[in-house]
Amino acid sequence: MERISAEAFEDIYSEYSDRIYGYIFLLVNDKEVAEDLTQDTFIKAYKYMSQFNGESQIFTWLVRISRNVAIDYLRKKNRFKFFSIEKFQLQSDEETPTEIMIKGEKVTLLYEAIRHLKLSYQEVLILRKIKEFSIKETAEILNWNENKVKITTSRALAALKKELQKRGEIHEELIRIR
Amino acid sequence: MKSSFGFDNSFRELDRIPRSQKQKQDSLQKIWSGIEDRPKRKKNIFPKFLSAAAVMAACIMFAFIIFSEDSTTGGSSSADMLGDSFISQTAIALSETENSFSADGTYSAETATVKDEKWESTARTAINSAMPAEAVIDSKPLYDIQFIMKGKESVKVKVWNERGEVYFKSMDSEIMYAVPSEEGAIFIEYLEAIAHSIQKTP
Repeated sequence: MERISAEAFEDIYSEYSDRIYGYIFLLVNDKEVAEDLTQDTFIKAYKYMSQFNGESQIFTWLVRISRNVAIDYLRKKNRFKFFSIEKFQLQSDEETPTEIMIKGEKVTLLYEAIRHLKLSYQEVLILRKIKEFSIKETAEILNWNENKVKITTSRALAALKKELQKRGEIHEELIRIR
Repeated sequence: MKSSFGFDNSFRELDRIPRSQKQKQDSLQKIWSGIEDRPKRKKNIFPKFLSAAAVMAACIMFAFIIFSEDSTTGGSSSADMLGDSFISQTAIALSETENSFSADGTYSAETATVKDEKWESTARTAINSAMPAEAVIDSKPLYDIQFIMKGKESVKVKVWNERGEVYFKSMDSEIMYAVPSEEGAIFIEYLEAIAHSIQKTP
């Protein structure tokens, strides 16, 4: 496959980099780090563009790269080369960034509750509920099977509801599942 | 999918994380800096059979330039390094040794990334006004600077402050340049301030 032209690459960057940045930001909880990892994502995307076979949407492919980049960062940050993603949780002293706070109390509450879930739950909620990827796309990004995506999403939502209730800041009408 | 207990709008809100255009454009510049073998934007306007001739002509021309530089080292101009090229940003780090280079342009606690018009103007003036020097320098280099430029190979220099006189040398040349006192003083003042901020970073 021929190397992508500078113009085509910049078009892709212009179209998708904001959403990639937003996705990474939700995983790493830091503006500067999210920007750095967005750069890493697009450098990798450029280098491996010939491996993009067009079977998935390019955005799904970019999110998959950015997910790997962000997980690598989280592993290094926590100094455990092979920490268990299943058990990884937000450090209790991490502050909620201004970018989230300005969205209001309810969004902040939801964000903080998600950040207190284990990483696999965070990931599936970010992809399915925030980024609104399909089950198939989510499975592709996380390298899971579709059944695992369905089960984990269901468990993640239950854990989120419990976390919100535990925080005692949620109104009765908000926890009513239709 | 199941309802999200009244948080659907909040989930959507989290999909929109603010990011400025400047942040976006700066990142694009850094991405291109990170991609060493970036494609050329200009179309190849020469037919293929002319390419070989062009390469030969370029070889002869470069050979001429190299030989004439060798014989007239004293005439080398530091102004060729930056010229009027647009500096997209500068990476600055404390120098470790004379042969290594620390300001590789990546984000780290040891490297400051500067994008500031006044700094760029000061640095350009200092570099462009310098003259080749025969001075023997005893001290160790203090700063490594990488000027990342638009459409041009980045320029890497090491800077010395030898008893109040400022000298620098490009990483790909052995020629030492001396910066005039006034320009050198402002240049080194900037570098000291930046170095101070690097050392303060935990």
